[in-house]
Amino acid sequence: MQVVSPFVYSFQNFNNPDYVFKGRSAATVFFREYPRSGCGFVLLFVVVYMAMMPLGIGFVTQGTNGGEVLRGLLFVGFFFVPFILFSILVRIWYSTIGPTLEAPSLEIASIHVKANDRLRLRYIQPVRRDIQLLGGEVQLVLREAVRYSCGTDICYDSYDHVLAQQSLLPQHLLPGSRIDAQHLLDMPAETMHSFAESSNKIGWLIRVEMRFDRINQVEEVFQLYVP
Amino acid sequence: MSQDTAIHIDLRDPADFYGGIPVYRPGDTLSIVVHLRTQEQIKFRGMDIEVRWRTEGKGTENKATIYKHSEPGQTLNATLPLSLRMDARLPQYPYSFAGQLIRLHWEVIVKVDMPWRRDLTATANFIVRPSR
Repeated sequence: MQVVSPFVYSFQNFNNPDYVFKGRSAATVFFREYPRSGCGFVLLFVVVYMAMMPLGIGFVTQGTNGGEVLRGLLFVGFFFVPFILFSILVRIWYSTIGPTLEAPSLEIASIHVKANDRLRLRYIQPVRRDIQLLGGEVQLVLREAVRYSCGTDICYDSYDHVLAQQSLLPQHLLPGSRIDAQHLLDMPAETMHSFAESSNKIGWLIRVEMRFDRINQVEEVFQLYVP
Repeated sequence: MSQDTAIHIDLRDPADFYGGIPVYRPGDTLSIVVHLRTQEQIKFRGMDIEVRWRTEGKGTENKATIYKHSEPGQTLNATLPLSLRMDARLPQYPYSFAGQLIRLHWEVIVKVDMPWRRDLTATANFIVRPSR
């Protein structure tokens, strides 16, 4: 059995076997578990920035001597302080209270799969605090991902084909317990192999979607390779 | 293409057909016969025959040539058409694919370099996929 860590998708690391998942940052976990407070927090910062930045810039541009310029720079720099404070507070939250969901893992015979294979999966999601799982799905996904020029920018797009799916049953999870779901998913008879070129990629994923009562919908993906 | 000159690409011995398009298996040998017929006397500077795959769709194109044959220039007329036969070994990957954002095509493309005229080109598509 091979134990696989979740994969953080980006076009650059998709289908890259050398990519090693290092874990999510405390801020990423915080915003995932408290999306509303996270959005509110960002909105507050944006409003304060928009209101105060002209004042700071005014100090700098209209400064007649070095003291006023320095004061203006300090004024602008002051607004970085809340971000630094937030970063420290989130780290404290992460190491004391901690996230509701710990890092999940997927057990599979091998991440190298081929047509007609029957995939025996075991998804393990440890839980640190009391929470209700409302439902979810374990899916076998073929993802197409592309990179293209849009004006002067480079844009990305992806499309998922869900080829097999099984449900996660609702359950009440106590602190220290875990979601332990075993599933069988069948690879189709005719499959496209994993394909990675500079602007076009086709790859295979196991995607686990979970809906909880208190936190945002959680999605974890695990990368497979079809040689 | 000139009305008096025509390129015809014949792909031999496919494993199967899908919608009239020849299907080959990965690793198969692709037998290509190219006919260049003309009703007038023409002189071309050279002819390139390529077997390649390319992507099509929303993403920027990726492509790769897996076989190329260059034929030196010569003079042809109605009684002296040109027929060339060549074999190209197909690689194991990639397979043909038709998705939502990406389509991966395999093709044989013939380009005839004509002096003082637009080059002549012809393309024949085929499918590469493993047996069921």
